[in-house]
Amino acid sequence: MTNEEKERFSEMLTCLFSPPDREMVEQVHQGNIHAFFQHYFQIWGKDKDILKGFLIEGGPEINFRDLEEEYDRLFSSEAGSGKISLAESFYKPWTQDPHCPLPFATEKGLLMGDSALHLLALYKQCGLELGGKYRGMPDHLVMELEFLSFLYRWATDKEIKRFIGDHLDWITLLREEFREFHPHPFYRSAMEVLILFLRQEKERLEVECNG
Amino acid sequence: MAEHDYLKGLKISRRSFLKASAMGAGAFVLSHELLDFKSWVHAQTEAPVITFPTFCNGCGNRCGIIASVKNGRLWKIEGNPEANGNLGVVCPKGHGYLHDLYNPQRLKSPLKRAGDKFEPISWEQAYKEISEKINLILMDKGPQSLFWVNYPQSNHQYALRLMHALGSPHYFTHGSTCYTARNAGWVTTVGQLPSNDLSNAQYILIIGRNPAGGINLGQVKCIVEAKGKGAKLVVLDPRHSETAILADEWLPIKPGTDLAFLLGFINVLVKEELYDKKIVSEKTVGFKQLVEEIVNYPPEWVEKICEIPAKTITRIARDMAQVKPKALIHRGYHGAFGAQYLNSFQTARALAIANSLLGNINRKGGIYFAKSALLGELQPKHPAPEFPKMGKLDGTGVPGRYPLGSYGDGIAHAIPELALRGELKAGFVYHNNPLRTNPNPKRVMAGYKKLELLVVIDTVLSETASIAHYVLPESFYLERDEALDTKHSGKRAQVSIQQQVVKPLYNTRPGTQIIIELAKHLGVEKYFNFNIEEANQLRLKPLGVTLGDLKARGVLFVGENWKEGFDKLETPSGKVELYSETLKKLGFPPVPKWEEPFVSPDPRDPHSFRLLHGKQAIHTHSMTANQPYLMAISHRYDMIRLWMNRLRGSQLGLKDGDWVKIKSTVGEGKVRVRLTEGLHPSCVWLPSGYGIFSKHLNTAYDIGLNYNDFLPTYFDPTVGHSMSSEIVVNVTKA
Repeated sequence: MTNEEKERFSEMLTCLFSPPDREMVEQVHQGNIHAFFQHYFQIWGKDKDILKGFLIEGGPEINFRDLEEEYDRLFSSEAGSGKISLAESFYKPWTQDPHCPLPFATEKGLLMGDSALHLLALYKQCGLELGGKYRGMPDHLVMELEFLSFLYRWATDKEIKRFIGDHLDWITLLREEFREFHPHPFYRSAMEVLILFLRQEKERLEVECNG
Repeated sequence: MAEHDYLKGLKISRRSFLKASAMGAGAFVLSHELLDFKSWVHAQTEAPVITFPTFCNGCGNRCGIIASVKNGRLWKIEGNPEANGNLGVVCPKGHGYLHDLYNPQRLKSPLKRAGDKFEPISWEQAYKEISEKINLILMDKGPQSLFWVNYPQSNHQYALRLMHALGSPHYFTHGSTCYTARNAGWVTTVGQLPSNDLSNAQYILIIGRNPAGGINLGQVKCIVEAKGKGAKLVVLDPRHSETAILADEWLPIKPGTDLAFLLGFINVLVKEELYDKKIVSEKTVGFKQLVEEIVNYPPEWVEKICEIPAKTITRIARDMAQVKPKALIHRGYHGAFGAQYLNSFQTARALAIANSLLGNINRKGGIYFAKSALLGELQPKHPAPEFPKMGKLDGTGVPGRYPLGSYGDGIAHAIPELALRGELKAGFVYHNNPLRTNPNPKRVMAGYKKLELLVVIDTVLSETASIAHYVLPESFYLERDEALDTKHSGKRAQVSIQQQVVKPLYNTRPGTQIIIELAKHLGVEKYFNFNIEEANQLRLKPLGVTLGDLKARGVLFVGENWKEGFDKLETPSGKVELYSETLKKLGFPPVPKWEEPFVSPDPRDPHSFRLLHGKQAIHTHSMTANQPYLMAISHRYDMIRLWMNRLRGSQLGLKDGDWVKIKSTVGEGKVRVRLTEGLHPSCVWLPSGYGIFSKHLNTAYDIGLNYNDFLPTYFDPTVGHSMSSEIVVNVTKA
C-alpha cells in the first residue's frame, strides 16, 4: 500500500466509526465499502469472511435506520446512553503524573486523560483544531484515525510508528468491550478490519524502522 | 485512483472533524519530545499549578473551596479556610462529585426527545422550539400554567425573575419535601430562621438533625470545638446517627414524638421556674396561655408517649437551665421536623419556644440571627418585572389551604397533582430531580408526563431528564461563572462567588446564561439585558467590595459584626410569640399542643414498622449515588441496607444481611437488612440517596431503595409539606 492508499484507508475507517449518515449507508448498500476492503484483503491474503458485515441486505432507508440505532446503542455519547466508549482515555489510567492528588488520578473509565491532552498538543503543533462534535474528546477513535490519515500524508514512518504505538494500542481492549454487547455485523466487520490494519501496519513499521 | 475497480463508484466525503486552525495545517514539524508520549508526560509533570477560589456543588451547602488546575485540567480541591460554612474542610461528597467532570455519561449538547430516545440539537434550535411551545401554551392557558422548580442555587433569583417576567407565580424549590415545617415554626415564633452558636454553647441538644451525616462541616467542627471546651452534647434520635457517635448521651426516642418530649421539657422549665424570667417578661407574648396548656404535659405523661424516662427529661431541662443562655436546642433541618410528620410544624414551634425560655435567642452560645449580606438590586438599571397578579395554584399562603407556606418555596410535590388536573402545562426543572426525590414516584411520573412541555436543565440524564421533551446541558460547576452567594453568612456576613476553574469540555452553558438566553427567546429580554458579570457587579455595589477582590479570595466578609440581644423581632407582636394570634385566626393551635402522628405502625403486628430515612455522609439526595467512589464506599461498608432493631429482626427470624421485602400502600421493594441495637424498635430506617432508576446512571442504577417509593402523596395542613416519615411499612423475609 502506498501512503496515499493508507491515508484513504484511515479515512474509510474514520467514516465507519463515525455516526452513520446516508452517504455512507448508500455506499454500503451499493457494495462499494465491501469492494474497497476486499481489494486489500486479497492483497494481504486475509480471510474475506471478516467483511461479510458490509454486505447488508434490505433497502438503504432500513439500513440507515438500523445502523443509526445500533450506533446509538453502542457508542452515542451526546446523550450519555452509549454502552461503549470510543475514547482512548477511557481505557487508560487518567494520568501518569505521579504527584496528582485527585482520588481518580490513576483510575480508568474517565475522559480527558493524558492521552487526550497529548493529542491536543499534537493537533495544535500541526495547525489543527477540533471540530465541535468531539469537543472534550480529542482522543476519540475517529479523531485518532483522522489524525492517522493526516500523518500518512505528512509524517515519516518513524513518526507514524510512534503514534500508533502510543495512541492506538487500546484497540484490543475496545474489541473485548465490543464483544460483550453483540454488535451488528457491520460493526463487527469494521472492528476486525481496524484491528487487522493496525496489526499489519505495526508489523510493517517494525521492519521498516528497525531494519 | 478512480480507474481502479475497487474504487469504482466509491464516494465518501472526508469527515473533517479536525480542521485547519488559524495557523494553518500542514506545517508538519513534530519534535521527538512532543510526539513521544512518555517524554511529553514527563515534561508535563513540571507544569505550574494554578489556584481558583470557588464553591462546591456536591450538595446544598456550597462549601468554599480552592480548586487547583494543572495543564488545563483539575488537579485538586481543598476547603477555603475563610468560608464560614465549612471552615477549610471538604467532605467526601465534594471529592467524590469531582468525578462527574470527566464522567463519560455527562450531557454534551442540548437534546430533543425523538420517540423513546434523544437526538442532539443546537442551542439555537432548542431555544427556538422551547420558546414557540411556551408562547403557545401561555396564549392558550395563561401564565399560571407555567412553572419552574429547582434545588436552590446562587442564581435562583434569576429563575424567579424569569417566571415573574412571564407572569407566572410558579417558582418552586424542593422545600416542601425538606424544611418548610421547620422554617414556618421558627418564623411564626421568632420571625425568622436562626442559626446555632454551637462552638460557644455549653450544652447542645440535637433533636433528629444529623450534621455529621447530613452533612454540615462547619457545624461538626463547631460541635467538636465546643466539646473540647467541655460542652455536653445530647442527641435525641430514634437512630444512633453519625452525630450520636459524637454525643455524650443518645436518647432513642419513639419516632414522631419529639413534640411530646419538647412539651415535657417546657413543662419542667415552667413548673420549676427554670426559664429566663427577664426574657419571658420583656420579650415574649402569651406566657400565661403557654402555662395553661403546658401543665397537661408532665414528664411522667411524656414518658409514656415518647419512651424517654421522665427523670431524663427533667434532668436535661434542669442541666440546660443551669448553663442558660449557653444552652441550645439545635434549630433542626429536614430531620426530625423539617417535613416529616403531621405534628412537625408544632414541633418546630415548641422547639423555638423551648429555646426562647432558655433565654438564648440571639445570645452567645445560643440560637442567633446570622448576619447576611444584603446584596444590591439590578434595578433601576434593569427594571424588575411586576409581581404576578394571581396566587400560586398549590395553595401556598392561601387561608384554608396551606396558609403558612412560603411563597419563595411553594409546594413542589404538588406539581404532579396540578399537572394531572391540567392546571400546569409546561415547566422547567433545574438542578433538581423530582422523579426521584418527591414522594410516590409513580404519581410524580404520571404528572410530569402529562405536561405538554418539560424542559430539564442538568448535567446528566437523571430520572426526570429522561422523560423530558428537551434537556439543556448545564456546564459542570467547575466550568462556569455564576451568581454571587450569601450562603456562608454567620457571625459576620459573607459574600462568595462561584467561578470558572476549567474551560467547559462540551457544548454546555452556565445556568444563569441559560436563563438569560431563554428570557431573550421568550420575548422578555427587557428584564434580562445584562450578563452575569454585570449582574454580579451591580449586586456587589452596596457592600463596598470589588468583584476583583471577591474573585481573588472566593469569600469576603462584609458588613458589621453580630451583636448579642435584640430589640424587636419580625413577628406581628415584635416579640417571641409563645402564643400566636395569627395561628388562632387561621384555625391552628395558638400554643403548641400534643398531636399524634398521622399514621402509626400496629404494635400487635410484628411486621409493622414506621419507615424512617436519613442521609449518610457520602450521599446527597439523588445526585451522588452515581459517583463511583462514593458508591464504592457504600458497597465497601455495606451501607445500602435497611436498619432494623435486632430484637425485632430476630422476632421475624431475620439474620443480619438477609434480604427483606418492604411494602407500603404505594410501593414495595427488596433490600438487605442491618440488624442493630442502634434503632428504636418501632421503626426501620432506610438511607436516602439510593434507588436510582435512570438507566443512564449506570453506577447507581437499580441499587438499593428510596423512601419516596413507599411514601404516599401527603400535604400537611399548615405549609403543605410532604410528611415524609408518615409511612407504615410491612417487612417480611424475602
